[in-house]
Amino acid sequence: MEPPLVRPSDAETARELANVVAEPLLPAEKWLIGGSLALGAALLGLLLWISRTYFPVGS
Amino acid sequence: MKSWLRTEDILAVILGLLIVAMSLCSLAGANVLGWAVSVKEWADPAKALVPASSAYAGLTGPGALVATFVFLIVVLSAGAKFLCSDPARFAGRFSLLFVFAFACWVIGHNSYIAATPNRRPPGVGWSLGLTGEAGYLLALLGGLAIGNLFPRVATWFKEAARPELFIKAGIVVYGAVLGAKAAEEAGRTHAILFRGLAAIIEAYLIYWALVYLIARKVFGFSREWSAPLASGISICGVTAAITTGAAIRARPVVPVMVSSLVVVFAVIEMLVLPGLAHWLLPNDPMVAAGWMGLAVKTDGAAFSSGEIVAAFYFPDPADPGRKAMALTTTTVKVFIDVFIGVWAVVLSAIWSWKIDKREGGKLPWREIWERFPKFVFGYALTFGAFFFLGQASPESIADLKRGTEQADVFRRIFFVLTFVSIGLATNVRRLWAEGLGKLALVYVVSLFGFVIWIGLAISWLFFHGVPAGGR
Repeated sequence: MEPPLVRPSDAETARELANVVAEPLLPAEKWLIGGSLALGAALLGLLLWISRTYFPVGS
Repeated sequence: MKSWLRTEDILAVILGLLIVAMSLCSLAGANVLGWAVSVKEWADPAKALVPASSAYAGLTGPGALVATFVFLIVVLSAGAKFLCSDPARFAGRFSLLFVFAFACWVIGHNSYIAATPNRRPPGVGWSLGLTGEAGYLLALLGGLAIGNLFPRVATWFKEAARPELFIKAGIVVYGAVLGAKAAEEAGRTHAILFRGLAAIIEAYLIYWALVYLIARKVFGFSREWSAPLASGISICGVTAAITTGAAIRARPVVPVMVSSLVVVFAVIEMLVLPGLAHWLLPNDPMVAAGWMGLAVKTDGAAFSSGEIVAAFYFPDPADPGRKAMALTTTTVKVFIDVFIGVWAVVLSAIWSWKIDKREGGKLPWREIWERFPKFVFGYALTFGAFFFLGQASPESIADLKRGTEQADVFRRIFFVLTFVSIGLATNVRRLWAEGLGKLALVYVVSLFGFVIWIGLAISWLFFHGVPAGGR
């Protein structure tokens, strides 16, 4: 990654942020958030099981 | 040459591979890097510097320092030319940067600062016991002082103070060092690699969704702001924010603004989390190592935090526990960097097909590739080559480890240059700059409210009980 060449000033950043308009969550965004969290929860169990079964560690 | 090849990432890989290759000449009997300067704990300043190889003892410490400086300035100035910068201007600025960073590094090795109680030399009745890694912290604090008290000086240094270049070159070198070490214990290495991958998959899926939700619903940010914010805060700071910005075709100014805060918070994490990890997890070094990779943003800050936390647990630089911890932090962070590309493709597809529908629904593959952190290929190459060589021929492991010792001297120098460069680039006043409050607030709430704690929990789930193998 290359560092950004031109960094906006604080005033420009503040202006940009002041212009941010709230947008309602679209169904696709809800699906993305919910799907990501659900997949995370489901995979947690699976990955832990694989870790402990196939990649055990001694003490 | 294609423009995406002329990047700090590619230069870092070239530098790292060059140093590893030179170091390996020792296996063929040619001591090509033995003149590099190594810093030792010292009570007598005359004993602070020594050549890396005893074969160059006649060079003396100061001679080795000069040789190291000349090598670095020649190689890095050529690198500046490669990046289309002015080599002469780079060389002038780098010279002062090197002197400052090295002075911090040497002072940090003073016995009164570094020596642990069991390793105090005769005549030293007390010591802070911070280990030689105190030099890194001094470099960071020195850089911060200059960057914030003398911002014009920091701007002057900007041409040479390149934390991403230094840390990535160091990590490519570290790949060889860790690969040779990992080959000794293949079972544990496989476990660390898989568990590291599992941990970052979990972290991505949970962190990103939560930060995005909070940015959108609680703070009222638009989609264009929320996606880079979620990636920047939750995943890997600057790289993730900029790659995500490209994936969703946000205006370039958005991820750049997010990135400017990422660096500030990364420094706060560097200063706080290693000590906190040691305090919270006194008997779980591998959990602490994984936590640094999962919680500290930006490559430089994360790898550096891993180095500091390893020193807390294993003060002796030669302790094998340090390398096991470094392997864990590095594995987690490199997988995170790889996953930035995967996540960018996922976001790009969702944005192109469902949210910001474009004609033909084409994904911005080229933009994503250009922003992908390519140094991970260099790390994978050096780690993989040394690991598999050691696996294929166990009797060669000792030689491989010896061969990488001199390269590791340069890895440490790159790390200390990273610390001072991060300090120089960090403007803490941005935290209270007018109008940035909302941006800073979403960062504080997300990072300290749940990102670092979820990272701790995930690291504990996957690394608790994994032995570091230290003394």
